[in-house]
Formats: sequence, C-alpha cells, structure tokens
Amino acid sequence: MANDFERIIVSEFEIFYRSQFASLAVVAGTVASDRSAGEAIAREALAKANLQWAKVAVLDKPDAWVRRIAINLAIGQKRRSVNKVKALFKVGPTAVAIAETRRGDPAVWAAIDKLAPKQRAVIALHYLEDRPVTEIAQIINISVSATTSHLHNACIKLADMLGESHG
Amino acid sequence: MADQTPSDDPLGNRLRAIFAAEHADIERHQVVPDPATNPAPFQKWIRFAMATALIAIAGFVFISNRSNERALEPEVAAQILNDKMPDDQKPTGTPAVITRSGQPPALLAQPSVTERVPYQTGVNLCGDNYNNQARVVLGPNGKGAPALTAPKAFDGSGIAREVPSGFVVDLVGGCTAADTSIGPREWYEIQGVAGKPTEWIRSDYLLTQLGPNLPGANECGVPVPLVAHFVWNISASDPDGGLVAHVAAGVDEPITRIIGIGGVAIPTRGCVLTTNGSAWYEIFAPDGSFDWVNARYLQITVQACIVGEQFGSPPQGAAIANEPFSYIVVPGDALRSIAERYNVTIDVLNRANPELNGGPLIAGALIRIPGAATMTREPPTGKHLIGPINGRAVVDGSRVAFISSPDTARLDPIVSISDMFYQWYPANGVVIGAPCFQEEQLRGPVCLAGEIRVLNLQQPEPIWTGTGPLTAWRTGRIIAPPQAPGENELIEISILTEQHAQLTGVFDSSDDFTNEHCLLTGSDLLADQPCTRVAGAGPTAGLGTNEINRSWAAGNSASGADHVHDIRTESNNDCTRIVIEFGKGANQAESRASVLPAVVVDQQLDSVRITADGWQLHSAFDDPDRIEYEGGIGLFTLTFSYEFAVELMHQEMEPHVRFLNNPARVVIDLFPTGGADQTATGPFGEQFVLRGPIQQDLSARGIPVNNKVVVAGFGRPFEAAGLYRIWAVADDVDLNAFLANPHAPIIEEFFATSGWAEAWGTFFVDLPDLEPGTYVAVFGELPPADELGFYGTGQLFRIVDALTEGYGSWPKAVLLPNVQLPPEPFG
Repeated sequence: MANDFERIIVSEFEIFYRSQFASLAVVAGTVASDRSAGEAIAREALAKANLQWAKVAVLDKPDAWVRRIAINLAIGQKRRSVNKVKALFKVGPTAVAIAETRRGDPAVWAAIDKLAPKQRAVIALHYLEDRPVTEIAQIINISVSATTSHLHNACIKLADMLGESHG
Repeated sequence: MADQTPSDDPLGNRLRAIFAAEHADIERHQVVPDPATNPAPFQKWIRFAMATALIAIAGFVFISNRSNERALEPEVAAQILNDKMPDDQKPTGTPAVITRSGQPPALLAQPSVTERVPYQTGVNLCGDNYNNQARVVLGPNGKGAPALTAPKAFDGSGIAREVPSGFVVDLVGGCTAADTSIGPREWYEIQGVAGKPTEWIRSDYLLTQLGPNLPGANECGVPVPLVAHFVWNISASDPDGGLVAHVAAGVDEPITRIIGIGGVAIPTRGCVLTTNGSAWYEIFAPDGSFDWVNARYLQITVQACIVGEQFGSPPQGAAIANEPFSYIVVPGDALRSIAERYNVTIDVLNRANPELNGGPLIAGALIRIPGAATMTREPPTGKHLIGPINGRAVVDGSRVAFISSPDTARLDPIVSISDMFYQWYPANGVVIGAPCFQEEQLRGPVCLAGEIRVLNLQQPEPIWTGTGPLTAWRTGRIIAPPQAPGENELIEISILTEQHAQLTGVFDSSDDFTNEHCLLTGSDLLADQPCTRVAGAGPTAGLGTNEINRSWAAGNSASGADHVHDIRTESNNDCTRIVIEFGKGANQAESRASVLPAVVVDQQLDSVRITADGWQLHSAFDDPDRIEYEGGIGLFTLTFSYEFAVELMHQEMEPHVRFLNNPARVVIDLFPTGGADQTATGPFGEQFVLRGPIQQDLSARGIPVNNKVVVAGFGRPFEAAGLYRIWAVADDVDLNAFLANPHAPIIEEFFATSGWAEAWGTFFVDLPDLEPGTYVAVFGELPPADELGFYGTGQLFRIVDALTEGYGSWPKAVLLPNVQLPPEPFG
C-alpha cells in the first residue's frame, strides 16, 4: 500500500547485512556444528562490523573480514562449550523461526561435524562460496599451504567417512 | 577445488549440495513470504526481509561503486533487484502497484459507484490485505478525511461526507489508483452510509482497525493520543540512521524496519513495560501491520507557533548568507555535489561534519553546511509560506514537520503528510508563543532550530540569544495567572542549550509572542548560577528553611524496597535535583544499617529506578558533608539514620551530595562525564559500568547471593547479550597476578542487553547462589576476535555465612573497572 508516513533510510551497512547474512550463517553454523548458533554468530559478527562500519566498509573485502570474525566466534563458541544460542533465545526470538534441522544429506553433515573446526571452515568457504585457497587463507589467517593441507585432509576424511572417491 | 566440475568430484558434489540447500533454506526463510501459514508478526518480518533482500542485491552494486558515495534511494535499490531477480522469485499478486516515481500507472477500470466490485475477502483489488474489512480513518493529519463518490484528484467536489478521525469504515474490496494533486494514490472503496452508495477514500488515510483500547490510555496506562509521534533523541550519527522497530516489545530481533530520525510513528495504544523498565509502544507499520519501538525515542508532536520561511527553498537573503545551516541528504546526493551547490569544498564539509568520518552518506542524515563568504544561492523554488503557522509542529535541526493545524488544513492536500518534511530556513528567528498553547500542551520537550531570542520587553537588547538546535523543556507550569482581565499569564519554560547549559525563564503569554517577542520575567537566567535549594515540605530544627527534609514512619525492614520512602525530582529556575528519602525504620529490626537499597539515578531525570535489593559499600570518603565527583560511581559510607537529601545539578550532570543529618548509606550513580571514570571501555567502544555490584543477601540464612546485579552499558540493536564470568579465588588473591592469567571460571553466562537501541541501558543480571568464599566477577563482552581477550567491568567480592562468620569484617566489594583479561588461545 502506498504510504507516506515512513521513509526508510537505507544505510550501506544494512545492505551489507542483508547480503551477507545467509552465507555467513551457513559458514558459521558449519564451523559451530549448529545451525542456530551459526545464525547467532552471523548476527554477532555483522554487529561487530556495524560498530566499525566506517573502517570495515573501506576494506577491500569486507565480506572476508566479517567471515574471519564469524569463524573465530564459531571456533571460540565450541571451545568454551557455552551455548550462546540458548542465552540468545532467552533474550528474545531469533530473526527467523527456521527449523533446527540442517538441510541436505544428514550423513554429509554428520561427517563434516567430525572434522576439526578449521577444516570445517575451509570446507564451507570452499564448497559453499567457491572461494579460492588463497582467499580462504586470508580469511582464516593461516598460510596458503596450511589451508591447502586443511582442505586436502578434510576431503580425505570426508571421502573416507562417506565412502566416496575424492577427485 | 574451485575448478572441479560436478561430474568428476562426487564428494564435492555432495558438499556443494548440502551447503546450497542450507543456504537456500536460510535465505528462503528470510525472503519468501508464506502468508497462508505464518502468523502476522512473521509475515511482517518476511515482508521486510523481502524488501531488504531486494535492497541487498542492489547493495552489491552500490558497495562495488562506493567511490560515488551516493545515497541510495530504496525504490532504486528495489528496482535494481527486481531486474536481477529470477522471475520465479519475484513477488506476485500485486496487480496494481503504485509507484512513487516516474509516470503514474494507468488507472484501473473505474468501477461504477452503484455497482459493487467483486472481491476476494481479505484482499482487495490492489492485492492489499485489509484486515477483516474494517479500517480506521485517521486522515492526512489525524483530522479525518473526505470520502468521495469516486476516486479522483481532490478539488473540493464530489465529497460524499467528511469521515472524522477515529471513525471505523468498512472496506468493500474495491481498490484503484487515481491521480491526486500529490501524485497517484490508491483509493479504497468503503461502505457508504446506510442506504447510500459506496464511497472512495484514499488508502493512506486509513489505518488498520484499532483494538478495544481506542480511545483512552494505552496498555501501560499512559495516555497516548492517536497523533503522529516523531523519532527523536537519536543522534544523527546513529549507525542505524534512526529508530529500530521490532516485531515485539523488548526484543533485539527480528528488526522490521528503521524509522529515520524525524520519522513519524503512530502508536496503536499497545504498550508493554519490559523488565528493564522501558516502555515499548506498538505502532502502525507501513504495510498495515504493527511493530514495536522503544517509547523513549518517541516524541509526541506539540503545538508551537513558528514564524519562518519554509517549504524546500534555499536560504534567502544576505542576512543569513554567511551563517552555517543544516542540510538533509537526499537520495542521489554526493558530498561533491553538495559542496558545489553551496560553494564550499569537500574538505570544509568533512571538517564541519567529523561524524561522517569518511563513511557513507546516508539519505536523511543532517549535515552541517558551514557559512561561506562568497556563498551563492540558487533561486528560490517551491512554495513559500511565510508568516505565523499555528500547527502541530516539531522542529528538528533544519526540518520542520507540520502535522495538523487549522491554518494548514486548508492547504491539504497540497501541504499534506507526504510533503511534511521541509527545509526550513528561519529568516526571523523562532518564536515559541503561548497563544498557541493550552496548558496541557505546554509540557514536554521541543527541539528548536535557528535563532532563539529571549527578550525582555523593557530592555532594547535580547537577554539571551542562541542558535539551534536547542532543546526547550516546557514545563507548562503557569507561574502566575493573569492578575486582571487583559493581563498575561506567566508560563515557565526551560531551555537547555546544546552545551547543556540550562536557562529557565518565565515567559509571558503575551500576544507579543507572535510578533517575535518573548517576554522573560525571571531573574535567574545565568547559566552558571549554582543550584538553589527549594523549600521542602517541612523544616527541621537545625536545617535551613530551604533544606529538604522529611520524616517518614518506619518502613518494613524485611523489604529492601521499603527503605526508600520517597524519591522525586524537584526543580527551581536553575536546576533539577533528585531527592531520595529513606525511612527512619529502615534498618532498626536487624540493626544493619549497612544494608540499604541501591538507588540508581539515570541520566534522564525522569527515569529514576530503585532496585529492590540492597548492597554493601566498600569504601567511605572523609568529607561527611559534601562530596563532589568528576564522574563515575560515587560510593558513600555513612553512619546511622535516615534523613538526607541528594541533589543533582542538572548542568553537566554533576552530582552534589549533601548529608543533612546522621545519614545512612546511599549510592549515587551517574553516568560518567568523561575522563577517569569507572566505566570499562572495550577495544570496540563498548562500555560497561557496574552500577549495582554483587552482594550477599543477608536477609536469608546461608549463602544466597543477591541475584540482581545491575550493569549499565551501551546497548546496540544488534547486540543480544553481554557475558559475565565468575572465578573463585583465594582470600588473599593477588589481583594483578590473577587477572594476568586467570584460570577457568566457575560460571560463564550471558546476560540480556536487549531493549536498548543505541543508547545507554541498564541491564540486570541474575546470579546463582555462591558458596562462602572469595570471587572475582567480570561483566562485559567478548570482542569479535579472541586474540583481544575479554574486557569489562569487574568486582572482587566475598560471600560469607552471615550467621556464623559475622559481617562487616572484610571489605565486601572492590570494584574493578576496566578489566582487560588476556587473549585466549584457540582450542
């Protein structure tokens, strides 16, 4: 309905937020082995970006910056064994009332969950977002050779667990 | 690998498949509406997400083209998205979309006024849901609206009736687009009066039907008239660009929209008081549904007499050519174009607007245009209205919004809601005049822009002159009624300047107001004059007659809340102070004067909160009579008794505390004024201060800990939780050594910081009971990267078994501001 009462002011960050959220949630959820946690982490990482938007916006790859934050948060989340999602749910409803169950083949998710956190991160960044190894290395802040090693080892493990060949 | 193809990498295929499915599912749940199965709030979120997702896609284009630094118009973003969107994802079911730009759409077939239009229940011919057919008429300015015999541009003819504001009309399903003098608008067909044909009314004059609370107080018991409220008190540098609206009261997300600074919200009378004491109003959303905002950021429109020049024209005349003024960024603006328009350099603009900080230029933001000696002006455009306008108006920066007034109503719809944001360049100063006001309408704050002149008519020169934006706090108190017929009443008005200097004067409600004169008869206009005490209810021997002093009957010592018997604000011409009074019987039964409730005084003087829980103090100061602090938390340890006053000067928020007679303990907790304070500031600007430290509940046996710890911090819309940790430490802990290398905490939990949009908030933390022992607690937030560690505000405290170990033998609470714990390695 046409309405003159409101003007929506579109900020650049809002645009960034909406464009990044889903991918970020999947990456973080993969690392955290928890879909809801992934969404919460994605929001938190984007909140951090919001606080420093003037600096983040001028980066060459603000999307890479926010992924590093999200992955660090996701890895930290597992380490601390604190269910932040539970706390966030106490605070209020989440952005979307989505199902807790992750989509796709459960066997693949189960196999991914058995990987090390950084291997999960590499897998998500590579197979979800098709990022090259050099870019993944930048995001995770490890060397290219270590990234390649993580990716290779992760694929070997997954192929073994899933009974697949890995080309 | 990236170059692998699906055919030769079965594992990669499976991985890509699950990631794609997961991504699509999350995204789908955000952008695909499902009105058949989802509840209303969810629908609303979906709508918003859908719109913003459109904007998001366009945003890629925008971000990749940041060098242009142009503000983006939502419709443009949506259009870009629409072009890029696959056909099967485009919204459907809106056959008659009204566009606000470009050519107006072709009119739908004009229905006959005597022939009922077939329609699907709940959805009209434009595809709009209309909520059980009924809508309430609000009209363009809350004044009702004309119902016409047919949709058309309003020229004063064809009026079937004037439908008053608040009147409920039945929609019968017809909808069409028709030109009006302000562009194409949707028109809804409504049921006519009994026995008459159906009528047509502009859809934007209608609101979804209100609940049973109409009219009267809202659900919090606060009278909230059905008039526009403005978003205010949000800084122009707010990264959100305004007030964040949510689907429910007191929650962080989902966010439905952002209402720009100066934007308009219309409450439905729905109200919820959240646990942190803030009121949330339900307001109408643009899509006909509802959302919620924190009411502290809403300001009801007030009436004011304004003499000025307005309506979208550049500043006029040489008199103000060299004066700085504000400019509202509009979509399409670039810093360079603005600089060229006003004949200044980009560098000058950047210096005048440091908050821009190289960041994006946001449509709707106010930027300051410095004066330039050789400034050139564009020829005036648009319509000028010069002269007094008695309307519901709020002046915010350089914007003036007119909502409703007898004088402007006749201009409708030329001057209608869609045109209510004006550039405003006061040529003759601002006059706030009593003739416009009724007493009730004088209350509350109003922002004034431009030049304010306070005149004493007996003096040739203004007593005081200031430039906006200013905040005038109109108490509405009539100091003196007219002494004789024809004389003027004196009304108290307080002006708080940009620098928080406060001028309070008594204004004469003379007709001179409309002639740019405000008569000031107060004699205490000096900004730096110290606060003078106001006479209290009853003088006590030994105290001056101006001393506040009251005695109260003994309270219920079993209840901490009862210890405080009265807390109120009082004002005189110079200051506002908060007076807190404790009862005489506060601690008699238990002989523990050490337990008194924490008194939390918020920065807003009308927001005084008392927690029901007591706490102990850890330190005392030597000056028993008067203590002044530069900022932060002041802790006072006093001796027995129960009468004292606390006065706070409004200016600079400087606390002044005077203990009048054998005082008890009191905590004065103000926001820091800068410098060395008790606030913990993290590496990303988050701030926390422990306002109600951890304490033991001594009213119970054993070891329960008082479970309400008060933490204040800077809440932001996206932050859902703070974090606290508690460590058990040795009684003789070396704090420095411990904080340099803390072991694993025994408690690590989150606490809610929701409900505060870009503002200081007070958060309450529930603590579990603790065994006797010594502990360190830190309240704060983990930074985004673990290598920065955990920071916050902390406390060293001890829990004892009060019944066996006694009490008072150990400093119970040691505050630890600015705790910065070392980084933790990844595990």
